[in-house]
Amino acid sequence: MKKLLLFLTIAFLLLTPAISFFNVSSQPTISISASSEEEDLADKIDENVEDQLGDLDFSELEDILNNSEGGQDLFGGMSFLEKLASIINGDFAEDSSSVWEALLNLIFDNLLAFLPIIATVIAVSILGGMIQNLKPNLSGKSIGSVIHFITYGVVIILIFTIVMRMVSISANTINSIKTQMDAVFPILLTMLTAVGGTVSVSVYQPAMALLSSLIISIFTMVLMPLFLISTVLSLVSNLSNNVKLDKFIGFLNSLFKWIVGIVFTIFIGFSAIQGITAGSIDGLSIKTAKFAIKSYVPIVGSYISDGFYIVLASSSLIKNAVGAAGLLLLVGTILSPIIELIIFMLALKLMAGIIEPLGDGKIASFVNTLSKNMTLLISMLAAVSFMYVLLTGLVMCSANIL
Amino acid sequence: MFSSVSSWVLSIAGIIAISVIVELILPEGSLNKYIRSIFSFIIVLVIIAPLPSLVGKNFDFSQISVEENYTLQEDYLFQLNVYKTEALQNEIVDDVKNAGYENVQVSISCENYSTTFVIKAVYVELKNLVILDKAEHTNIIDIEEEILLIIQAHTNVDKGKVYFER
Repeated sequence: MKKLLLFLTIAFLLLTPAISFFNVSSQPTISISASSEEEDLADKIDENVEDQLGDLDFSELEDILNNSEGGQDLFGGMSFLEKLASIINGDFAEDSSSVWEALLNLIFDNLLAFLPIIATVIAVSILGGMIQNLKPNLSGKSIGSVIHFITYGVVIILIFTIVMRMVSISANTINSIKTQMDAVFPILLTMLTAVGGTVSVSVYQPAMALLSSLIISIFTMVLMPLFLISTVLSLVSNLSNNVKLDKFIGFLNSLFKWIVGIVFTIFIGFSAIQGITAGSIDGLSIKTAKFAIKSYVPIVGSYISDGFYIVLASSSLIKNAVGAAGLLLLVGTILSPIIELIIFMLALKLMAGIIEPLGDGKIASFVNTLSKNMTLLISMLAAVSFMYVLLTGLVMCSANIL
Repeated sequence: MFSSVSSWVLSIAGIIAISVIVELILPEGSLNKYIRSIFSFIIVLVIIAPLPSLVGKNFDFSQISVEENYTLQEDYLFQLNVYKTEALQNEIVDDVKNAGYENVQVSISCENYSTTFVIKAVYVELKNLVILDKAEHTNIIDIEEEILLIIQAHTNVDKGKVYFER
């Protein structure tokens, strides 16, 4: 059941932006390759889009873009407005190879950055284990405990410098996703109103407000402390053989997962169902208006050449382009932290695997539980950005004129 | 709320650390077993300590409210109303011209300071009307009726909101 749900959401996620991007990019190219009449129409739409872009205020988004390094990489040094214009003209997927290059660079940079810590932790714990094994039998059990204590302390200090960095990185990322939402959502709502999707606006406005205030604060105020508690307890529980808190940590972790899952499912379910219904209602009202015109007056001819619908079509193009550019900005923001978290998690798993046979079993199990905890942070970031992507995709799909 | 949670976690961590240190310091002996069990008892107590205080508390979830309210970019929407009226006026004038009546001036008055496009009235000026050969009617009342039909095809305004000026 859970897997089916996951599969459905992923399929939906992959489909919605793909369809919308297709709409965005294919529209002008079709008209360019067609007859002179349609070329004329494309020129008119271009002109109208330019006029409308001039009237919109993107200063907040430009500020965010200037402050985000990953975003600037993905935008290829363009400003937000320039990128928007190029998306409307259909140059969306021009530099996918540079994205892959950036991704691979990011992965290898992170691997190299974590390598010294991995090596030190492994060396310290293996040395500790060797001393444990080679010490004279006479000296008793407490010397062994002291050795374990010391190696454990060194390993904790080494690993926790990175863990704390990861925590602050993910908190910052969630905050910057929130500021992005607060900048993108008003523009999307404005564009939706401009296109005539009044029912959709009344559905999406509360959903967006819910996401950017309540859900974000659940993530930062409830889930983040939960992660920290479970990390601290996993540290303490491996101090000695006698006191084990594994089950309690398991409880905290499953609490975390259930909260994420419930928030995610309810939010996605409600906004998707309501949004799709509202979108179809809006589309219907726009379409019936169009048909009415066509049947009444035979002189009008093809109605898309009418000035009024050119205005609407340009607004709809801008709406989808704003959504696409906003998602691009989101990818630029979350790509580097998520990759860093994933690589750190994998590095911890690798450490646990190497330490286990040679060194201390308790250190290995501590590192292993820590790596499980890191997946919580990753799932937190992924869930927030999933919800953002889905909401934007829904807005892009609804109330389209063309 | 937060301070109590963090103090709870810290007390769990602290009691476990103390128990480990005591275990290290204590000499081996028969007493060891008892001390260990006492410490595990204390740990359980510390973990469940905050539970009784949760019972009987009334949580008020109604205070959680979504305060965020997005302001639309109204300047843009107002400007868009202007674009839409201009486009509609041109369309109607073109169609009227196609029907054979030149120099008809159509001006649409809409609520400029509204986020949605609402037409208040349509004014048609027929002072400089030139009737071409292809026109169906020559009677001014018939002409008005035909122009009204054209206007209603483009917008869905009522008859009462269209004003003619001869």
